[in-house]
Amino acid sequence: MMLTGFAELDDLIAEDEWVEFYSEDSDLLEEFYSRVIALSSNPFIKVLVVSERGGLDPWKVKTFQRTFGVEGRVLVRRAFKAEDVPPSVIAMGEGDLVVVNPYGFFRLYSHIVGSMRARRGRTFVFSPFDREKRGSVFGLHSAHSVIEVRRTYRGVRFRVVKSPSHAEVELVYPIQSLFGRSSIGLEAWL
Amino acid sequence: MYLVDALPKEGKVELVLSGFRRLEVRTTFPVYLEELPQSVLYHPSVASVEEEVWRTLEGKERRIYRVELRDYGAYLQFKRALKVVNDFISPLDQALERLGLRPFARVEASGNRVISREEPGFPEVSYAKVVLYDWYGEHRLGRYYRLYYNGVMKEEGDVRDLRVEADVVEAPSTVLDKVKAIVKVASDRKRAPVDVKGLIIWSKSVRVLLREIMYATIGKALTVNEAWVALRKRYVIPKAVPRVEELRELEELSYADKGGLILFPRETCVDNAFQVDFSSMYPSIISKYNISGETVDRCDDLDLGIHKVCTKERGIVAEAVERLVRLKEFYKAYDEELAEAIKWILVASFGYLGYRNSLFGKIEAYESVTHVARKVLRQAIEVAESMGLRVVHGIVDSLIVQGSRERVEGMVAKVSEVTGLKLKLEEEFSWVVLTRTSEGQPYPQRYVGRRRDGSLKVKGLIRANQPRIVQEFLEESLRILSGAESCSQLRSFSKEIEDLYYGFRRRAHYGDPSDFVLWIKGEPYVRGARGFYRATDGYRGHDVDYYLSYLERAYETVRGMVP
Repeated sequence: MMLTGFAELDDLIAEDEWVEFYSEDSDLLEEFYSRVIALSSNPFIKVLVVSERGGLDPWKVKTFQRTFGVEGRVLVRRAFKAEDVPPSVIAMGEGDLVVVNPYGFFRLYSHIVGSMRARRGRTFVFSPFDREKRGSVFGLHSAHSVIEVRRTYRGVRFRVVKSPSHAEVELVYPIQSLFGRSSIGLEAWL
Repeated sequence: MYLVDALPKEGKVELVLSGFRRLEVRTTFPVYLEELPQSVLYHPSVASVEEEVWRTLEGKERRIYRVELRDYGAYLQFKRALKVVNDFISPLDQALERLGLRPFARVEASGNRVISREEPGFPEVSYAKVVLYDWYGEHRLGRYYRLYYNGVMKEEGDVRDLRVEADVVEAPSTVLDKVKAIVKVASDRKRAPVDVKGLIIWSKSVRVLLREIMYATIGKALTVNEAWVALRKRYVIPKAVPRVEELRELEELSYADKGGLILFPRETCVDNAFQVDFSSMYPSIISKYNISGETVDRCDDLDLGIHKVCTKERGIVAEAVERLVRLKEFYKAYDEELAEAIKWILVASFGYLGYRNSLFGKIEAYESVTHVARKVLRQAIEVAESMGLRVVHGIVDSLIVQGSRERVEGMVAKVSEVTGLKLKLEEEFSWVVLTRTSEGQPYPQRYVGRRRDGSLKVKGLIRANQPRIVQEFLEESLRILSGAESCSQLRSFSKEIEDLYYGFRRRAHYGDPSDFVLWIKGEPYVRGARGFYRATDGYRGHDVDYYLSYLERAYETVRGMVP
């Protein structure tokens, strides 16, 4: 089961098969999808990383797994060019899938979206750029939910840009909660 | 006469030979189509169509159509409108190969026939290189020229007086109008790291016309070399090859996706050291273990630890690389410069294996090579240590060891035997300085070794993007240090280095404008009071503080080398 670990956000997208998260802050997005991968890794999660190099830091995922006490397997496949993406998505088969930056090469949008539409199971897509300006429009239409992730002064904000069940909603969490370091603070003594 | 260029004509190809002579040969141009629309059969340029059985890189049988065209223009038309395959090597080059006419091969006309004979070594063609320069150094906007004819400096003078004629000429695009040549190479458009002589040997070695390869990257040169092997083995070569990586656990990926082995040296200076290098390590691994995109993880004939390799058939990359290794060895005995040109292709052939646009590589093949390389270097370290040698340093394919010469020679022979890869004794040093960063951490890729004859081997210290004054300071400092016979003697040169430093500090104030030039991406700059400006616009003063602080950093680095 795929989780973001933020209860309200998970409730909001619980029914959606295809959820796309995007952010112009690529560092923040990497932290976020590393967290999602770690939280969703029990018993296993499949991840497709689309990038010429980098894109997923194994140690970061491990750190999140340790932080959240999740033990599970992360199965990774990489696609290094636009032509690799559709067959790689198909090869992932059914079930939950995290796709990192599928439109990153800014080519073959229809083929890539087509391969993701054809699959059975939940798909979380993470795009490190402003999806309202760039990337596949077909992909925006196809995603059930589209959520913008943004860093605020002391936290992280999720803005639901598109959702079949909710109007535009914003959820803000303190930055430490992204890293699983939040606590109820002095309330513990009350 | 040597074949320098060829031009496609209606039903024939015009050969341009050394000395500006021309010959014509009747031919058609082969174009391969995945599908055969009826319109092709009506096309006036189509001479014949054959259905052929080829295979995909995955090993599946594929039927394609070979269309023989009379007019080369039709190929360009087909390329836009139809699914053309096997044209990574142009139909013109394929037509020439079929006629036995290879670039820079000797060609003779005998009656109606043209006979070609390939000769080893460099072809007897005239080639020239024009370099423009000015007070800031060599640049396409320079006002003066130097002309190198057949590799020898012939003349220099004012660029307005330049006139040059040769079979192949490399010159900046600003003076190409003063050049008469069969092939003119604009040096500022060139992407290859070799000059005109190297380009000629590339063209000859990978069997592609110079005109088609002169502005190409190394990747194009090595892929062409592989594509010839693929065509001979009847593999269909598509425009792009979609690859699907195997699904792997995160831990597996972290373990496999690594580069070569690099040791972090503990010492900063060692006496009596030897450097041993594996000869063309990565290409040799590719060739020895048959590593290629279509052989890795196809069957389990050979287990390399992280991936398996199929050895039933010779891999495309392995075969292509093996040919280049042999060529490099041949040229090495004949002309070091030619060997160097081939070495560039070999160096890139490994990296290209994992490059996304590589037609014949894949990431698993790349990982296999680095995995074997790490294993081989560890084996070499174990053998060295078992023979009583001390391993001081190691970078990917080379080791610096301490011990007697006899033991090192014994180690070289044993490692070559154990690993099956050729290890050679590269250098013998009186001392080697292994530098550190300003934070005191080891800097494995930056070291200086003094050979027994007093000359130095310097790695990573003097860089192209440093100001000339800094480069000269480092060169002078190293020249002084080369007087030391041992690490302990290095200290005695501290005062001399300090004096030199203060001399250069004065020069930072009153030096020649050329002292302050530094090169960034092929353009000369000077740091002025308001930041960097282009030296090509003329000297407009320099920022003394910038150069003083740069010199100070360089001085600290040199001081750090003195134990």
